[in-house]
Amino acid sequence: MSLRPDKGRLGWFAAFVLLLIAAAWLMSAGEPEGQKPAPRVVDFPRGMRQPEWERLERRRTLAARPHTDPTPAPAPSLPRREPPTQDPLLRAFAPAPGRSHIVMEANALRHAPLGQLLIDCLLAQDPGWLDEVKELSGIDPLEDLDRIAVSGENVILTGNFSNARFEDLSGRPYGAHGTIYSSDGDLSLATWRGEMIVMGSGESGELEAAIDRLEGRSPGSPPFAESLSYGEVYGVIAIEELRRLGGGGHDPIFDRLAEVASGIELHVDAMNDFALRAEVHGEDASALEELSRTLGGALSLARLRAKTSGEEEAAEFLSYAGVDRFGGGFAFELALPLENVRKHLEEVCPGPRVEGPAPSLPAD
Amino acid sequence: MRNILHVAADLLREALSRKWFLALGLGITLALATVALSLRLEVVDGALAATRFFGGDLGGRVEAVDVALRAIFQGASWLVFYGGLVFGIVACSDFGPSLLAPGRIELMLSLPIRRVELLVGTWLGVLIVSSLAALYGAGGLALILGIKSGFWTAGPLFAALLAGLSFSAIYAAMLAVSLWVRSAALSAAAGFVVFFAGIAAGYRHALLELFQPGPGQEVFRFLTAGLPRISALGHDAAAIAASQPLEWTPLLLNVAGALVFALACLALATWRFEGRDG
Repeated sequence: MSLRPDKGRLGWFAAFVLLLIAAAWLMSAGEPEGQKPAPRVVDFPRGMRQPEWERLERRRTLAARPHTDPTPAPAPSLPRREPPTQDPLLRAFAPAPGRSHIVMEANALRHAPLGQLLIDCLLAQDPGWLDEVKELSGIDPLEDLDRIAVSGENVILTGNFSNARFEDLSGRPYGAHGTIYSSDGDLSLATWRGEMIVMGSGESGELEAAIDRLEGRSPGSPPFAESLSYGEVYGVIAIEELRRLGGGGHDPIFDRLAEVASGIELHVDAMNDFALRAEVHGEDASALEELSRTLGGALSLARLRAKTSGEEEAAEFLSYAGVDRFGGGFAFELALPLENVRKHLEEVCPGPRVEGPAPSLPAD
Repeated sequence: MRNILHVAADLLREALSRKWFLALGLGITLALATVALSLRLEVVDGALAATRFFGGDLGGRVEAVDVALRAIFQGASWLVFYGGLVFGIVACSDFGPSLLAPGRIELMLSLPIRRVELLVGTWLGVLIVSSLAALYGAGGLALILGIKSGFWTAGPLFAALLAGLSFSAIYAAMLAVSLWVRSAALSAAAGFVVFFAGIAAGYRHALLELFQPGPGQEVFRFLTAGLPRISALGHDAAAIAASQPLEWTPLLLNVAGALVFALACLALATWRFEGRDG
């Protein structure tokens, strides 16, 4: 076979060149400027991760069983074993049943994009509030505060409070490292070792009891295990408080939850996206399974309703929600991507915007 | 146009008589039957409450059925797209060379058909075969899952069409190469070159950043500029199959670009074919 010397066919070659240039132009115009973002995967908090174990280890500064004692001194020939230690915050919690205990990692959140967005928003609305707090209490909430915990009606703060001052309150020393302050009003407050503030209302009995537990004069029984202190918000929710939250019989799902659950654990990751996981435990496996399906159906219907009413953002947000079943209970999961929070806050607050990746888990 | 359709129909008849395509049809049917008979979905109020495959429980997450099925549709789309392209390159590699086989080509050229019609008809026939196979697999899966879950979506069908279109760009290059060398192996090799180069072209921006600024970077930019963005099309096909949000402008530009690339290859093939004396 040989080639024909036909000049007319050169038109096809010209068409080839022109079409190839057109193809290159079209496809180059369709290329994104940067790299395509990876598909979003929201990580729900499901257990302690290495930085959280390290964080916990740094916080274990209190002998675990000081009120009993004492580990006998080891024989000189044996290697010395470190006595078990505990996070003081967990010891400070009152072991009363029917009380919720929630811890918020304020310092970690403050360094996360989500926390920075909220701070920017608050500062945009009231630029002077941070200075006012510093002026009044000697505490810089952005630097000195490590954790905020809510235990029933008490609030416990941990961090560095060596510069704290409570000039309007009268104080008296209590125990080895405590000081209890009270005012004429309802507020009472205790500081301990310059690293913890316990606030309550009314009588100071609860504050004294907290210091007694911290200093080993009364037994402390943490309401949840140290190994559950993962996420930026974590703790346990009392069923009684959940029932109150449900409006006392007005919400059938809350009522059913209060009936079948024996305990609810809460964990929130907020270093990037906001991802909430609430684990519901109980004895009645079939009732829990039925409830998990009801909740899953409710979420699905809510998403469907959002889609049909054109609320794409809400529908996308609900697509991250679900119910995860496991032996002995189920977990309710809900997520809010950082971009959605940013967009919402930008509408509400005219403050500066936060860009860039989240930092790693900060040291205390 | 009628001539083009005749050639395409002729190619379809030939494809149906081949064992490769019978095996493909049988394989897809078997896979769909397996899914239909062994997958049990329990849907409560629009939420997928339980999934059982061959009687085994597949995880205990309860979530909206369309969200739960996203992963299945996405996985099926990747399989149809990349699996379909590889299968198509192998199975269609000798359509071009057999068209040009001595005896057959003389017969074809003796008919009142222009050479360009012969090429375009062959290309169109392959486009129809590949799209039909992809539509059968993806549409069958969408139908089975629709019946079992009550969630109906046309996403997998559009994804299948995108796979067929991507293959048509690759096949046009294979057909052009077979005009130079009448070899099924070389035609397949050309198909694989466009396939892998097209995957790289889809990640062109990321790859360009790996080059030091200079001639190497510019050569890579030039060589990949006109190639169909196979990986970008595959990514978008999976997103369409899973009904996920998508940027339509880049997709449409990539689709148009792949089609124009196919036309360019056909023009090159015609230039070569017109230059041959039979």
